[in-house]
Amino acid sequence: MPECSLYVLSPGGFYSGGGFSGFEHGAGNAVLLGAMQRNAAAAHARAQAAAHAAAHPRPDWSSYADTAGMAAQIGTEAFVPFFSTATAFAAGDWRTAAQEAAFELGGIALGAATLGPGYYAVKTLKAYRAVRKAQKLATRGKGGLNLFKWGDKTSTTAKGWKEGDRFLHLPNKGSPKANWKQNSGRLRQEMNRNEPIFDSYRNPATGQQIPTKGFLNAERQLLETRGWQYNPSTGAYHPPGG
Amino acid sequence: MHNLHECIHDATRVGFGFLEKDYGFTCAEDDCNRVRFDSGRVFVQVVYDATRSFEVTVEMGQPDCEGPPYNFAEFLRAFAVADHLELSAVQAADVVVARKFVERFAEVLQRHGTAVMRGDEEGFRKLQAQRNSDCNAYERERRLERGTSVAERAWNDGDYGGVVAALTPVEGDLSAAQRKKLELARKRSLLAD
Repeated sequence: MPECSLYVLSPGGFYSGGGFSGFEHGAGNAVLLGAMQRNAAAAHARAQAAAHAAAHPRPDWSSYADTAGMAAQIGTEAFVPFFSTATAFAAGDWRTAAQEAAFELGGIALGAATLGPGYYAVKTLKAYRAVRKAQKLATRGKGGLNLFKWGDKTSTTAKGWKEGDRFLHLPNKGSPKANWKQNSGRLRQEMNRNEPIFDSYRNPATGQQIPTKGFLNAERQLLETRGWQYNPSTGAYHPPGG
Repeated sequence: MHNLHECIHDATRVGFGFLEKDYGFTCAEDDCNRVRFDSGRVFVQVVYDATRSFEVTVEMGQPDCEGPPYNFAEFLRAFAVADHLELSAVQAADVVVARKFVERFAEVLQRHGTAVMRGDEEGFRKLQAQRNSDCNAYERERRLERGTSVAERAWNDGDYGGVVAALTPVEGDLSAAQRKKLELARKRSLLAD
């Protein structure tokens, strides 16, 4: 326990339900006076959060990122300018960053009370973006929408499916033209989610796409004309800048 | 819609009957979207996407083969059947067209697909080589398209460094005109530096 003046802040009601309890630990030690004390408290909060994480291991790390993302969003929307998560991202350690983003929200009150908001506004924005990136990384092992070639059983069987894998199965509108209109509209909606879109018609040895015509080709074109890029190693299209 | 289903189904059973008669295939699956013939070593299937694209395709493969079956376009290219390339992509939303195409699929397969239907390893090696070659070409084409598109925007913005960065990775696939553009961009970006 660092030696410092400490005001205990109850985090109740801000963000705790089912999330990362490190936040509560951090918040409980957050309101301090003076920069040295802040640093000491931050170190203490980190230690507490790490201990908590060790005591309560969770196999699904993506839940941390989800939690962090939600917390970050809440913080950003409330104009509460305090995060210091970006460092872990700079080191490429997104798991730690996801944890940090969650429990460091506990220091929000400190930042607002003791330092000007301008400096932290920039940090907040960067951290928020970093958390969004963490969320994307966290979902990398998960499935998503799969483009498919009709009749190809390897495209549509459940074998090898990942959590979240799905296809666009839409009602028949009676003609190829009407069906394409419906299909492309739904695909655009999916593209707005900015999550990888998998292409299941590919060479299993190399991950390369198998050329084809028809609807699947039109779907590929739609993605590519909007800047999405196919990555053979993930078997998915990724959004521009993603 | 129901009539179209029945038409494709009936045309398939008649047109592809030679598989059962001449090559010992049996009909292993028969529903409104797919008729699959299987010989134990090889399968051939006629697939009809009746609820979405109305595409009709014929595919083939070996039962233990990993990945999607070979499509008819790959078959045509692998066995150099250049005069039937229109069968690479078939969409049929009416009975007459559907029947005509199913019959032609059967006819071309019967005439040129002996190696595949017998299950000859050499035939399937050809198909796999064709697939690998097509996939490589497709990937190069996509990269070229992406590179030239980015370069076009960069050129219009006067960002010659951007042009160089976009086109250099695909330099080997550029046309003569595009290569000249790249050379010019290199000179201008050097001048700018």
